Amino acid sequence: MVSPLSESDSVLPAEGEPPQPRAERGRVTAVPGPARQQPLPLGGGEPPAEDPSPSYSRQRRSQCWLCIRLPGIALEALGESAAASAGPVSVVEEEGGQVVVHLANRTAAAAGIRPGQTLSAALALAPALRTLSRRPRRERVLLEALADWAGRFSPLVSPEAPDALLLEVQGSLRLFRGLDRLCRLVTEGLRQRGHRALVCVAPTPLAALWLSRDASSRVEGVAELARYLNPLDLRVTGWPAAVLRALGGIGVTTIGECRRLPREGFARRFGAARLQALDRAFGRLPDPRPHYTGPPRFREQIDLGEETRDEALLAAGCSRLLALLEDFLLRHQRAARRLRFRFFHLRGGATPLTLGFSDAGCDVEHWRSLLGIRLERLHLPAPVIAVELATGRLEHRDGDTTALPLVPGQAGRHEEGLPRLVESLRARLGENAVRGLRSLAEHRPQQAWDEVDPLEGMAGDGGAGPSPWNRVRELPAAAGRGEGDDLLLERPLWILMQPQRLAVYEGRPCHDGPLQFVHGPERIESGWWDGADTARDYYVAETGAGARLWIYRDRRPPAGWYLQGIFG
Amino acid sequence: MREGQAGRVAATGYRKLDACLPGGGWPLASLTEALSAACGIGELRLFMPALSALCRQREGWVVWIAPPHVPYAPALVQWGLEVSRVLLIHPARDQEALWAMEQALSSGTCVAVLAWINRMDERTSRRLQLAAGRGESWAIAFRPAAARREASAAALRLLLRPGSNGTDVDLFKVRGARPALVSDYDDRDGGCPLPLVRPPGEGLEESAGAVGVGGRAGSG
Repeated sequence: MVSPLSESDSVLPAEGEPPQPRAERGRVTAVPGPARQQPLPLGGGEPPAEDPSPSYSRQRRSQCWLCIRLPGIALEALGESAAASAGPVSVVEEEGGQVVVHLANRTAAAAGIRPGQTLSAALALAPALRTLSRRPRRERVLLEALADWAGRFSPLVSPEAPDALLLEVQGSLRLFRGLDRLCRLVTEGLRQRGHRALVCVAPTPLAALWLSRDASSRVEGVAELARYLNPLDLRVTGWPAAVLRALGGIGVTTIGECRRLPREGFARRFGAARLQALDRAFGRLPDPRPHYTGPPRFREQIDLGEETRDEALLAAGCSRLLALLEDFLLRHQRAARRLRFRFFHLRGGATPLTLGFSDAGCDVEHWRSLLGIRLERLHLPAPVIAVELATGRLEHRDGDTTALPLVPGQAGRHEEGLPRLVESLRARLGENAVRGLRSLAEHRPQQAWDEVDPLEGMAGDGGAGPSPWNRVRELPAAAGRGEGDDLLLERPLWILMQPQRLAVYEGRPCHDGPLQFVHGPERIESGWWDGADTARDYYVAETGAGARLWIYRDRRPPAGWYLQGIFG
Repeated sequence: MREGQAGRVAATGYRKLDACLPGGGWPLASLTEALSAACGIGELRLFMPALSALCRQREGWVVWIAPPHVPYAPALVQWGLEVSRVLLIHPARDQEALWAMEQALSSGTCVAVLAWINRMDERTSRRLQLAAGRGESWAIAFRPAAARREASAAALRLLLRPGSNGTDVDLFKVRGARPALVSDYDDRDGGCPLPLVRPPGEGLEESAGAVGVGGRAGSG
């Protein structure tokens, strides 16, 4: 049923007409986000300068959306060029049990083959037609690759499947010295990559997208939108065929005609989403777009061409992968903490090699040197045919916040290099071969120290107290021996992991002959609470050869003399 | 650290030694070989004042490669060395110890690299000497006394041996100066000695004058 339209009831408001309370109910603009609380004008809010009610487009900074549409992506994803003259080629897909043409190259189009035709009809027109089946996955991959590439023009790239990319370029205009140059660079860049592209510019993403389905055009302001959009055929909206048929049934075939329909009725009959789409296209509703942020991980594989065990060849392959990774990380401003190489063997199976770092980073040079160390020692059970490099989940790269190097070549160099030494030593010697030390506040000598991970102490800046690396200069210059320390008695520089029992000869402990006592005793009694109760008298003693030892007599049965440390 | 004709040096902390070394201290950014007849006669104490002074002036690791025992953290603290900057490396083989030493020296992130190495030929010592210069770190190789007969490219070679009164240091190769013998190098007043309360050997059951350091005696 088509009801006669009255001017006051239409999507396009009549000048000076008060808002209709009826339409308020029918306004199905349940827009997400608290920013959209104020009531929308009833009808289309354009041109904004003449619209008395607040309009969304006026409350935000102007945007400039660039839509790149790739009409030939279905062919290009299959490695064919839409313009190639190598005979008629078409991409076909199955639709409702029939094989229909999805896209035809220029030669095929010249023969009269159009999208939507059945394959048999197309073959009748051009018997030499080469048909390829559509590969949506490949199209998606290609579109993502191009979104990656388009990241050089704007940080906000939003792929619009199956064949378009939306870029918000307002912030990039200055960098690229104007819209003209930017559009030229985009088209030129795509042409060099073998893609035919249509570029449209509009203040809203949806308008840019719709315009791009018609022809290349450029709309500079929201006020201009109606002039460009109104004449467009409704098919550019990509609405379902049933909706388009219904609209066609009431004689509505263009966007302009559509906007003359009453809002409430339009929303009820054709879906609230359609009304929202119109409002978004005309900038009356916000249209947030997802950013394309790139894949969360990196994974790349290269084939070595033939099986090899040659270390140099493997290193070269890994190096190439690392170069790819570097490029990837730079482009996405990401940092990696773990790299996993896999060396594939022809007869199945793969040898893994994992590199882990104390800090997420993107320093490929360092990784390369670590990899070199590890490759030397890698045991390969069989020759390698392919190498894969994958990262763990990538982290966002922190901005470079190192201080300005006031002294050239000094600033930042150490802080960065310190963990590196540990990493490269560990790469070759093993994780446990590189340890750090810690002194504990404890009277019992055995418990007064501990082995730690040397990098832990460094990572702790900002956490529990200042990092020792920052404390360096704060140490009192006179922190010599003993001073300011609650231990008054000198401690030996070496400690034995396990006290060594000393032989006793004529009541005197012996170590390379009887020991001479130098000073002591120092009684240490502690630890009755934790099961390692200690009651000892410590002495400093000297061997006949002049070595100074730290020995103790255990006061608990079985009593005896023990060597605890060496003064060194 | 001082700049001198002999390159950068670090005062040893021992007057007698400073007097015999060119520039008045240990030659930094080069290899020092410390040969000692026995463990415990002062081979580490010899370097501790200079090491802790260097650590206060410069950032970086103090790397200990293949030490014969565990360096005792409280003692390092007493000497003024920041314990968190100590890196202990336990290589499985001599070859790896030398590799680690060269790696650490040339990384430029180490104040000093101390390594206990038994076998080291002249070529290796030259490599280490070069690496130390490249990374501006101080390399100290601790070796057995028998290594004295071997040729070495180290800038300084010394031998520690027990003397009649304390430990003697025989500076038998000093680049830029004459060899010298320093007897009883450690002539400081020796920390804070505890008077020997009772000569042990005869009945050590209870020593009334023992200084209590522990939970019950408080932190005195």
